[in-house]
Amino acid sequence: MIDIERAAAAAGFHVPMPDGYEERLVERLKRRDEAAFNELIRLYQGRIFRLVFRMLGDRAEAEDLAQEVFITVFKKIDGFRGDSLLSTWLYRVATNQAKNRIKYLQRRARGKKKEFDEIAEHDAVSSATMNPTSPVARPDQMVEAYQKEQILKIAIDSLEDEHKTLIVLRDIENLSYEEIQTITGLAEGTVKSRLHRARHALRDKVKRLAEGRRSSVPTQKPK
Amino acid sequence: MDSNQARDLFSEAYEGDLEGDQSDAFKAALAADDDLKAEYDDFVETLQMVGDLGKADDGLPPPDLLRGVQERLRNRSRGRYYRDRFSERASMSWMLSVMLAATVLLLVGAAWFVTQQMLVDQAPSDPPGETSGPSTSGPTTNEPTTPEPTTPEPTTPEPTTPEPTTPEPTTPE
Repeated sequence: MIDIERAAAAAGFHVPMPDGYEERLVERLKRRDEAAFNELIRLYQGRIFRLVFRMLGDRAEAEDLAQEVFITVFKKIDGFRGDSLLSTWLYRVATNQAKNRIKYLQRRARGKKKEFDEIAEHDAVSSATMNPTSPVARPDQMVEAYQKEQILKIAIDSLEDEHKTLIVLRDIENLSYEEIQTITGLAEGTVKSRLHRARHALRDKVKRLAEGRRSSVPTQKPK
Repeated sequence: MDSNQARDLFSEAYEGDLEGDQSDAFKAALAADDDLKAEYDDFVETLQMVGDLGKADDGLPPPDLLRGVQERLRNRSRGRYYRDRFSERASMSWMLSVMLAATVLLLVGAAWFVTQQMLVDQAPSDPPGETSGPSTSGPTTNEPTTPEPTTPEPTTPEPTTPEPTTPEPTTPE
């Protein structure tokens, strides 16, 4: 793994690159240089996969779509004019493809809602703590944290496409408003107002799902 | 600032974009309304959980993503891209072809050699009286025997193949 790939693994979406590196990489990509393309995938696979995974909410679909995103990049790299960062352009490609895939899945009625109770013990233990660096929690706290996470994922999954996109780009990927404008093609004021509505919608959904969950838990009667 | 106005500023407050009088008015509105305060705390908690999703390790890419992309590109370009790996995978069939060609060449060569040998065997034998084979009497040595030079007698070349004899016409008696 070369140095820049190591840096990419630790960085946010925009990988810090030496001067002229991105231009040279794009030039090589336009020549269909396979080594350059491998480099691009290694640099951005984590970020692209995470984006599409958060938007689709399904790992298998996300794995398939992430591959398709890179194939589209390989085919359409000639259309990249350098008006934005390569990473922003990649994000736009990924976001558009994820939206299309969501529509396709909705048509196929494959949008699935997982039940809260489908909690495998192994998964609960492995991912209950959302922050892996946090101190070890008690089992009941871990299960509660896991359930909260599942509720949140379901709530995000059930948002309108545009709301979901904005939440993922801004609140999960921490992109700037300028980058989100470039990716979505919306004006800054529109992005802010729609994001605000999306956040309220998300908060309402989370609240409703949590209340529904509490009311559905059977209370044990003493014998 | 009433509760509805404050509610509209939740996002800006969360992002730290409120300044001066607006920030003070927002804080005052929260302090005056416990429900609004609880709602804002809920809002912030939800967004913090959303932010934590980005750190969760279930968003890690599959280890074979690169290989998967390469395979798809190779298949869709019909081997034009990422051909090397394809060649490696297809090396068995390629080797098979080479081995088959080599075998055919070997067989053809062997057939040609055998034919030549047969032609040599059918060549005219030595004239009568001369022994070309090794002597059965006398001491045997391991030294290679070299044929003694003999002065070739002028010989008239005989046809190697018997002349076709034209059958005499038989007349019925």
